[in-house]
Amino acid sequence: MKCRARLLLLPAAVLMAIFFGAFLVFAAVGMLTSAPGTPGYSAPLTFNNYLRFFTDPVGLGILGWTVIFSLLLTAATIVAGYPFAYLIARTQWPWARNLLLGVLLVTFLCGSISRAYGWLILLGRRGLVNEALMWTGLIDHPLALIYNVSGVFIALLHFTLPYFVLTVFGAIRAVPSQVEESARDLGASALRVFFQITVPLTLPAIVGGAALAFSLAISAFAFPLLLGGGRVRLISNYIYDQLFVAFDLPFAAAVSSLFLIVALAILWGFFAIERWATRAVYRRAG
Amino acid sequence: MALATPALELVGLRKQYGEHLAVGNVSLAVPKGSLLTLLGPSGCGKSTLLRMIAGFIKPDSGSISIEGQDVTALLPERRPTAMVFQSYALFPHMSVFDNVAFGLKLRKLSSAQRRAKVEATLALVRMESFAERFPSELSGGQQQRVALARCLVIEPQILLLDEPFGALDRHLREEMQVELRKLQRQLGITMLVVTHDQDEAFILSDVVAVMNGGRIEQLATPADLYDRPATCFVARFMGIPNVLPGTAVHYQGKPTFRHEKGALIGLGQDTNIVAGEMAHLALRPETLRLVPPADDQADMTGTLVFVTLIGSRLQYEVDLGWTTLQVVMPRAEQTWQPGQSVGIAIDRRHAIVLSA
Repeated sequence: MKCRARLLLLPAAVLMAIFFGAFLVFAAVGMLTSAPGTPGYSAPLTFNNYLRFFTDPVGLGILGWTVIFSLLLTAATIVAGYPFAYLIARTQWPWARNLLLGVLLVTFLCGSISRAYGWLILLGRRGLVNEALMWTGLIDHPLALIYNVSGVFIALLHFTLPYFVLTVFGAIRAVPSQVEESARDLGASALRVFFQITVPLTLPAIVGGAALAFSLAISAFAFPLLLGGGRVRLISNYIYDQLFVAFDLPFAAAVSSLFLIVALAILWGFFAIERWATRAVYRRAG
Repeated sequence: MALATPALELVGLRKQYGEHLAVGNVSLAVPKGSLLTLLGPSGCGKSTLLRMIAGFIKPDSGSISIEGQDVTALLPERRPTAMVFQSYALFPHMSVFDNVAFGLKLRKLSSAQRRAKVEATLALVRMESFAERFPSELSGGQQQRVALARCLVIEPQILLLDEPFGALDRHLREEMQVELRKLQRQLGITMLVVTHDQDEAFILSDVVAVMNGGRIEQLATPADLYDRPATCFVARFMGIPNVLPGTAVHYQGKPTFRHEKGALIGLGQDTNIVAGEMAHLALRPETLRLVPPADDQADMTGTLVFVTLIGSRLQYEVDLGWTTLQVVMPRAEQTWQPGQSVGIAIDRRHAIVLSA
């Protein structure tokens, strides 16, 4: 019986082996040496590529900046996304909920490239945002919103938001409105109820959604490429350059492997927090 | 003597949802220290009324006063009310102690005072040994006690309870009903309970307001409600199956009820009737007796069609030709067989004439 149950796991195990096998190939290729002037590579096995990255301040700087940028973006996603999810979950009007969910879903379904071009138009020097700000008189010169960090940040925030909102929205709906009402009834203001009842009860979902947003942010490639104007380089772009500009495939593979380890370590941190939050919130819940 | 200020006073409360009138022009005064029950079927507006008093629903018109103070415009957290929800609505991420302390933390108290109050209140509902538990580790009855303690600890001027025993099994429900009643007497706290259960309303209440279609049909003590229901709806809701439509008339100088199919039923000499007015006659099955059809006391005759055993009593169903009546008698008395011709004797003191 037990043996047959294990047998049923086989297809899944094969699938996982193929996926992880691909990563292992990266790690292994990272130990080869490129043939100068060609996209090829050859033996012998060496750790030089890995060591080279650790002694390269530019590469390390980009990796560090990518992590900081992604954490900032995750924080922004929580701050912007939670009230939005709360609004969708608690609105009294079903049409408003459907409208907001619909808007969210449409952005969800748009491709990254078309969205990046959309932001280029909206945030450009003569784009809608600058025109509107100029018209209201808040600014007299157009703001530089693209080809810098702010453009990438705005576009990526828009990209991560639906993932976070949809994750948290369900958790907020699962908090019975009577629980919030009873807190009001006992004398807590709406704001207090929000921070002492709703937020703690949805903490596991917040951390889960944040982990999702973080993984999307740290692996961003198209948005920094199109909206960064060459000035915003995240780790994906750095790896891309090693591959298609420097033609150093083994080094690119080595950086990819290191990047994967860093990303997994941080995600593990997220999941540790999530486990802790779940335990703290639903302690011994059965 | 000046009238004491009622603990709660509702004047002309009204709430409409689109075409549906949830609460229509309800006025009500609850004396301090008493327990009033809002009794009615689901959708009669009793819960809407309770939620308006707690401040969760804004009335379209009318006013709510607590201890003489108009609270109609106040937010729920500013009202001196506390509510026990049907689902208990305990905070799942807090221990029993923290649940009860929640309301106190918002009031300025030292932590020693707070601890003492929480412990005293938990002792009151006999939950002191569960302070460190979490709501998910408690049974329904225990959660109920915590929900009650959480409200009592902030010493509300009115305690509101929305179907408080709806989720408990019958045995526990009866136990908790008596316990709540004792607690209410002991603390002298004003309570307003919403229920659809007539027995519960009778066990708990000083006064019962029977609601139907967003209005109060009758406001009376449980005994009065039982003996003298004012309307057809109340009579049926009080469990009287025999409610006959007809007219009140004077027949040979005596107050008489004429059934819409023509049969005449003589009423007690001192029954107040308005001759010629449409009326209903309510006859409690326990106040009717089966007698031999030729007996002097027989007011009506018919055929016994069905007998049901209900504990120590028997319930008979008698077909009179123009209507069917239920009669309930102790088992010890003469047993009658279905198919037999029987007479029914009415105890005139308990025949209730309803004006509508």
